[in-house]
Amino acid sequence: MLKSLTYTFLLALSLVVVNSCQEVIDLELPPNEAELVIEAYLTDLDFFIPEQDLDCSGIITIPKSEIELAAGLAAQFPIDSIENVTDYFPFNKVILTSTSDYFSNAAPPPVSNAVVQLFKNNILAETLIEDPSIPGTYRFTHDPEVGASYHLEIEALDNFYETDPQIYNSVPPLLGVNAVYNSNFIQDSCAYYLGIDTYEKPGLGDHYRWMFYINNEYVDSPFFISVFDDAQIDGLCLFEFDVYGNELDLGDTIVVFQVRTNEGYSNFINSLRNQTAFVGGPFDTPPAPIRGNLKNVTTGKEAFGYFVAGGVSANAGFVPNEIPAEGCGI
Amino acid sequence: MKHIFSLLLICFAITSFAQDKVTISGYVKDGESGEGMISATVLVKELTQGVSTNEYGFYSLTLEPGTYTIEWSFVGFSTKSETIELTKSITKNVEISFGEQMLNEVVITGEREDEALTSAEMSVEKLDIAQIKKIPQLLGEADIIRSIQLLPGVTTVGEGATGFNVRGGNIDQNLILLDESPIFSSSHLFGFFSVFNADAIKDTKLYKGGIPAKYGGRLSSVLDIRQKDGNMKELEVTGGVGLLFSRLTIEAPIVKDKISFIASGRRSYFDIFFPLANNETINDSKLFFYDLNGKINWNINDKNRLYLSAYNGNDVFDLAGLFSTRWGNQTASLRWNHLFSDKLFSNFTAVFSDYKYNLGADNNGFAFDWSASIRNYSGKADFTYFLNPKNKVEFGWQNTYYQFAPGAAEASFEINDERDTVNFSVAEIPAFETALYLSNEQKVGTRLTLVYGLRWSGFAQIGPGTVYDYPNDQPVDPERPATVIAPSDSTVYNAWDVVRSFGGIEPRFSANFQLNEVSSVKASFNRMRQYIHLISNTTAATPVDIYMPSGKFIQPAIADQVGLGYFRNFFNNRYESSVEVYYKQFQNLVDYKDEAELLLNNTLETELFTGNGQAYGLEVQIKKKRGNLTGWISYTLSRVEREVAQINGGDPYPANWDKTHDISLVLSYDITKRFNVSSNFAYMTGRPITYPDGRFSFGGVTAPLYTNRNGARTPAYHRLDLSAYWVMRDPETHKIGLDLAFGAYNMYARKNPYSIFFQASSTDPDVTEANQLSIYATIIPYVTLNFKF
Repeated sequence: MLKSLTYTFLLALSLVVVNSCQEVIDLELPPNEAELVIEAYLTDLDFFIPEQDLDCSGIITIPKSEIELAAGLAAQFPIDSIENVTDYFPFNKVILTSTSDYFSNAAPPPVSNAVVQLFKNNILAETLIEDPSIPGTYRFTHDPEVGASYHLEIEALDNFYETDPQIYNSVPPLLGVNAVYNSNFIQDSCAYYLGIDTYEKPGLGDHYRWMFYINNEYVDSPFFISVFDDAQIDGLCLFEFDVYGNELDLGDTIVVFQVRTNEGYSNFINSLRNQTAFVGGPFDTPPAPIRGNLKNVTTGKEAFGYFVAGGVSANAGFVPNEIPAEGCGI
Repeated sequence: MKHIFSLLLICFAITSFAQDKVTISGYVKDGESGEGMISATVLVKELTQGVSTNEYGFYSLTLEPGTYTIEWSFVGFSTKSETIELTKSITKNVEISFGEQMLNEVVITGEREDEALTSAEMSVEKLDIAQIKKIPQLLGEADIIRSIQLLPGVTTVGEGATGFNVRGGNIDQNLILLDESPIFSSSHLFGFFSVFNADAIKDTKLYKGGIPAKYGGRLSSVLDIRQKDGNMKELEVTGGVGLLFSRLTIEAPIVKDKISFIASGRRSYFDIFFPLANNETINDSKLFFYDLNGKINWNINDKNRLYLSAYNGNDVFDLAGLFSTRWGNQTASLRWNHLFSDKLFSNFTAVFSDYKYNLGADNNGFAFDWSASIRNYSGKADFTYFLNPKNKVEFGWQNTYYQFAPGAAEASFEINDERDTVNFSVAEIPAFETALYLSNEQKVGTRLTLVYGLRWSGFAQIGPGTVYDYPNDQPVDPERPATVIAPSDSTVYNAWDVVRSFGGIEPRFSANFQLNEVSSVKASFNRMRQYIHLISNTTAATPVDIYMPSGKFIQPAIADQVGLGYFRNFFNNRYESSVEVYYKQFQNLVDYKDEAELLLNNTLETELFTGNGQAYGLEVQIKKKRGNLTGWISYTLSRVEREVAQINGGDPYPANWDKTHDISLVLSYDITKRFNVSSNFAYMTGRPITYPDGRFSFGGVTAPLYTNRNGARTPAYHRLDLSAYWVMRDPETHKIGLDLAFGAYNMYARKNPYSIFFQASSTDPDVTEANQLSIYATIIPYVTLNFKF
């Protein structure tokens, strides 16, 4: 949260101050030595549901029945059909690629024929099978258990790799996905923005990631990677909470996934965002390795990417085809 | 400790049996304004011995009774000479005026012509304000900080970066004093302009090495800036109107030759055009900075003088309340000069300094307000004892009470038509610093001058406050630095309880051996301790970076520096040259984890690393001091390295401001009495930068892989600036003097790289690009009209 504000400030400084010129230049860089990259989400629709009606600051109450209804709707959410209509859908699979030359300018090379094993509380839970139609993609079939510890062991690229263990936690359901007509940051125009309805599990230390599919296309811009911790929202009910930050177009359809993650993943995603989106200004932090939770045991060096284990919730909404008559108040 | 001070006392006492001697002492003043003249020369012709005036224009010479011809001089001013029969101690205040024969000559410094040869000081740079005003500058604004960046050994991360780096030091390692008040942020507008209004400044002096014992608390340099005292003779108004700034300075006697004042103001008005925009938000926005300088100078009598100085400067950026930031320094100092005798000069100073900064936002139901500050109160007593012409002893005691406020924030969210407010703050941290010093400047024979001294400094972080404990007293796991270590316990301290204290001796030494009338060799050594640290992990520091004191987990930083120099003057001191080499070692420098969380962090120590560093270099300078053509060329060859176990695999890496080659050429030519042209050319090696070793993809985002911190460099930097200065109406012959300054910065529109960064193409995430950012990618012209009456 605070980091986001800091980056906003630094970006604003850069924009306001710099009478700058930016241009693409030619540069020679040394060749890369290929290393393994992992992207893996062990997920299921496992929800945190309060034991009674949810008291939101004593004014609004969300009946438990409504929460259970939302969780039930999410459980019926057609995740697989989304996978069929988008080229990127990372849940319940391990995607293995390798690093490449910085100017290679091609899709990341997939790593096939790897041995990928999932361990639950240090006991082998399953050996993943590579999807024959998508090289480098290995599918989970395991049904995760809330509170269990999971890690992966991988043999690939003639090396042995291991991830840090991850505790699998449940996630609050997404109660609603709304299009909210509002003003932009400098309040000189209005547009529809994304607002989710959900609540936060009481107790500090919870982390979340949201992923967005607009008109069935995954939003992959690093500017809109959205992770959040509960430092300022612990235990709160959240209505029309903008976790996307970008304008929506009239008639857009929106699908949002809310994933329970952890601090390590948030740090990884923040690094990924900072090293890709917020670069080039006078107030950049030093370029640094983006540290994930995969280690090359053979060489003792860090490999790249992240393995997450956590519940996921989903919900969908749409943007009306016309703007509201009352405008947004500016 | 006690023994070392005693030894020092004995060392110079044995040279100083001053029996039956008489003293001539007094102030040397500018005849036109009554200002005390710093570093004016007082020479006894018969003995070819002399002294320089101190920062207040005071001198004292103790001699055998007799008849002497005394000369008071200052380069550019007419020399005053008088034969005096000294039978008893006398006070002799002297006024010297701008010399007729010198009217058309520009001089670079006001010191005596061979000062660089004869003074024991080395690695010291003085810049005359008149010279600074002629150096072509960005938007024509005479800028002290930008001017000193043209001197050897002084660099900056890049154009527009806050502060300056001296001989490998970070920007927080410079002690910047304005009338003895510390200034914590020397820049306006995120680093584009300095906070010092040249119209209000009398003298600037930068110590890069051989730092005298009276200064301490920072590792790398001292920039001692003195404000004008105010004209004691008559009302004087000066000012300037520029495209984006205006200045006005008024100085006058309140009681002639007794009490004077100076009030000076400067304001930028970038935002005057905002109302013209067809946008309400921009109409209501603000973007400006201002400086206000004031000083009252009361010459009570020959033995007592009082100075009250104040400065207030602020930067304001407010996007119609939606987003805002402001920061500024406020300082005040009260100084009392008292002569206990004609040999013992004293200065008692009380100082208040406050640097406040704020960041706020209020938009779409979310409001945020963050502020931080560093405030200090100092009291100090400085004494100069003019023992005899061969020994000048300085001693004193300095105390500073700090109040660090690393940040307090209020965030409020409007959710469900209700506003929830969250307050968060990092507790204020008080601290106390004290120092004692003693030094002597001793002339041994006719060729050797020594300055030796000791400083003892102590520092304590004190209560009230809560300090966290960590397993094994380690807030960072040295083997797995990315691991977040949680506090295991905490300790509560009451007011004035000592959390942690530090102290140590700082030896200071410099020597000058004059080889002959035109050349000398010099050597110096100094140890410096620094107890306060700027916590900043960005390429260029931002105005909202916090300061933290040394404490349980942050050790005081230490720097040791040795220097050796050869100085030679040519053509009757018209040309001055110097070659200096230095080596500097740093200990306990603060560095940061990757993605460190530095703001509003109660466990900041878990984000910090400690490391060491070194800097070494060669500095060459040739200066032409007099004549129609003046200026200098300087060259620096240097290296600055940091070494932190957890960064770059523990291998040393160059600091962001490491510039291998740095060349500056500054020239000023008087074509006629009233028309001058000036130029400066700067060339330096590109700054260190980290290039990627490859790339990987995650979640559709292509990211660079970095392993070798600062392992490459941006292309070289070079720039030419030109300016002209036309005296339209001479203030000596007209009621209102007018001059016009015009010129251009970055004459050939060089796109100097500030940084090179790596990003995926906005159209295809599989295509990655190297982008170059240039801060000033074009020529920037300016024109300013100055007036004086």
